[in-house]
Amino acid sequence: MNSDADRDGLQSSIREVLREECAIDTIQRHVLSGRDFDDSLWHCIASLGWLGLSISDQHGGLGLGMDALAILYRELGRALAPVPVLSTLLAADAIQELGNEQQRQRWLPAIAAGRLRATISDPTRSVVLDARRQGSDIVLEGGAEVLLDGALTDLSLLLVNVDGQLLFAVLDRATPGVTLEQLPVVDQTRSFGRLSLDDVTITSDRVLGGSAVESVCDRLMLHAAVAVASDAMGGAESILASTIEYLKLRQQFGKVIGTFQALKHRVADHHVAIIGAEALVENVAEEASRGRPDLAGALECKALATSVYARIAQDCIQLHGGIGFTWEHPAHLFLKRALVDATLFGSVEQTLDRFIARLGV
Amino acid sequence: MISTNTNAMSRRFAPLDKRGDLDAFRAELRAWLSATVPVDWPQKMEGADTASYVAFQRWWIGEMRKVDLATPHWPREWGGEDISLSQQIVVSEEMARANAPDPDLFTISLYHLPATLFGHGTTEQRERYLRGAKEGRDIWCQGFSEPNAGSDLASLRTRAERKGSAYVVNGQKIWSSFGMFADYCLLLARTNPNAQKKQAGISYFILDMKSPGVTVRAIRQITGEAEFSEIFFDDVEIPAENLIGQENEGWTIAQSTLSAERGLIVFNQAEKLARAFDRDFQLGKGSWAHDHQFRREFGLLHARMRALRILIRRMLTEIERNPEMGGAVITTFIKLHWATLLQDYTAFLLRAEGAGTLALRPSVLGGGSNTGLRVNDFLRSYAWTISGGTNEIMRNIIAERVLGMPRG
Repeated sequence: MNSDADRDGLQSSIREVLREECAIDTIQRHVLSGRDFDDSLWHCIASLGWLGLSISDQHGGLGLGMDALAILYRELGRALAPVPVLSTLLAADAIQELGNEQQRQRWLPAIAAGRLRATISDPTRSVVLDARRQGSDIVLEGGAEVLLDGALTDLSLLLVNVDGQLLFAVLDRATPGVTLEQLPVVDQTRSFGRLSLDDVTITSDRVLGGSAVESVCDRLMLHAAVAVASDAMGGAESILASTIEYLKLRQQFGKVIGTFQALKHRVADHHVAIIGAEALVENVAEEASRGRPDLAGALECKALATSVYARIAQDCIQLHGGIGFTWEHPAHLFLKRALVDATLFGSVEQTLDRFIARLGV
Repeated sequence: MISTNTNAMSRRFAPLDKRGDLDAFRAELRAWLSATVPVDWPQKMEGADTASYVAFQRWWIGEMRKVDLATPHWPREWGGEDISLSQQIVVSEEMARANAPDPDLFTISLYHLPATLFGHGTTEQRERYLRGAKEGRDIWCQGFSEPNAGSDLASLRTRAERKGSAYVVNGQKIWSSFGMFADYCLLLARTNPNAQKKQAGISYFILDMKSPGVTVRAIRQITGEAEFSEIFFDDVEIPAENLIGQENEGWTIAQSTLSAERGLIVFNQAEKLARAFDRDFQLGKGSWAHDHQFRREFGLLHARMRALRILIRRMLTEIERNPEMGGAVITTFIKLHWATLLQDYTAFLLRAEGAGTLALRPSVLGGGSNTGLRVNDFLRSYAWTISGGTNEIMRNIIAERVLGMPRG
């Protein structure tokens, strides 16, 4: 996108739709339902073209950059949207970068249209499966724990090591030997799965490989880091804003508790922390969309943004007092999503270690 | 005395002539700085006596004047350069890169005085006082805070009574930076003790520090040096023409003084901080960077430093788009973000680098916030968390004016 005005326009249109389609009572009903994602929201998002934001226009998308994606992720985080957008768009990114034209045509238009949900191994390469060749096929054993949206996707892009070569194997949930099960986690607005593989054979047309896998993993790490950081910023803004509204209403000792300086100072610090972290996240996203990807910067922004979100979401429970400890009040949903954001694709500490390693230690 | 580089004589530098091309502008600035700033100045200024410090500051402002970089942020009609945002960024980056001295002694002259007189001074006041400030001749200080009027500045009690063609001032000011070297003072005093609101009875004056009845006493601060001062007024006469604006309307004018530097000083400091992070991390590679806990802490501080620099660039963009009102809110965020980051970072280095940092050494005068003398830098960080609105006052402002929380 070329201007702040374009970005503001995209943000307000996404936010408006989510305010209608993904209001907090919708989320609360979703959590009670025990379902692993919100199907009608998914179809709404697909029909609006959001799943194609970053997919090239030849493949049914809009061909926008990381700045547009960051806006989408931030708004999904603000709304606690229970949809597998991040996993699907990361997988789409890998297909776009590594796939041949036939593979792109096969999967990307279906992803952009919302007909295909996908997930991908952690691009930090923390878990890589060993696989073996059998003729032109690849045979997989083992499995993957805690795969983001693993249980509800149609395609799983698994990072595998074949004779020292890194590549992605594209598994269909219907492939014989593939078992997917849901792994219940504390944040019910996100879904995780366990994938078990029993002698699964992958034909060569379902392999994404080549010499670019390492550099594409770096690209996906940046994408994932900016995405989680943006989610964190949206969530932090949302819970802080509703907490401030509560402090303006709640009365004790005959006064609105928002008059108490001990509380004011905390929310002022939280606000400034968000302003700073968000500036950094936006900057990293915009630079990437201008062809200046900075993986180190993305890692440090993720570490900062997710730690800020966790700290704020924790304190917002405390600032609410007793009502914040109830299931009925939505504050806990933000805390739980914050806890997951702070570990997704690496904890804050692991992320900092990766950042520092790129500074040269 | 600092030996100045003789190369400076070898050719005339004119960076602003090349401002149309940022790369050429940067190259010329770099050449000028490398020919002009003595590499060993921080060593020479470590524990320097006040006479050498003042002489060095005067020499430096003189060098900046030669290339019109003492007042580039002033409007052209007052002899400034109307420097643009992108040019300002280049200047700050290059000053930080060259580790150029901060012209601390001239902060009020270069920022607060013009901000006050451009908007509120009479033509006579502007013509009489701005030239001396611009030429780096006159040193100004600020007489705002009092022993019992710190965060609650509007409760100030220094009295100015009109007697004939003069005001007679009695009282005491405190925390006036470099008051002991100042030629003039921007003074707030109470002219109407019976005003309904305490803000309404305050007037704003230009005071000649050589006036009879003015006594200045330096305040030795926690680092051991004296940058601040107390000023005592004993029947000091100020000619009535030295009133700025209308009588009893000084409070409003003081707001424009306080917003004077609009973050430009923090901008310069933040660029130097970014350099310090690089330098300190290179040093740390021999020691603390191998410790997980320390390097993670460094990583988060680094992220906050980058965030600060982005916020400052946004603020400057806002000000450039809207010179009157731009940047008003973001400035409060930046002040609090910068002050807490500087304190956390300088405290981190004490822990990371260990006992050696605690050696008692005199400070580098004019060296800014990250001189490399760790404990001094940490102790000095309180200058930012307390002065110009304490962190607590900034939090009140953010909570009440930005977030709409009710007043207590």
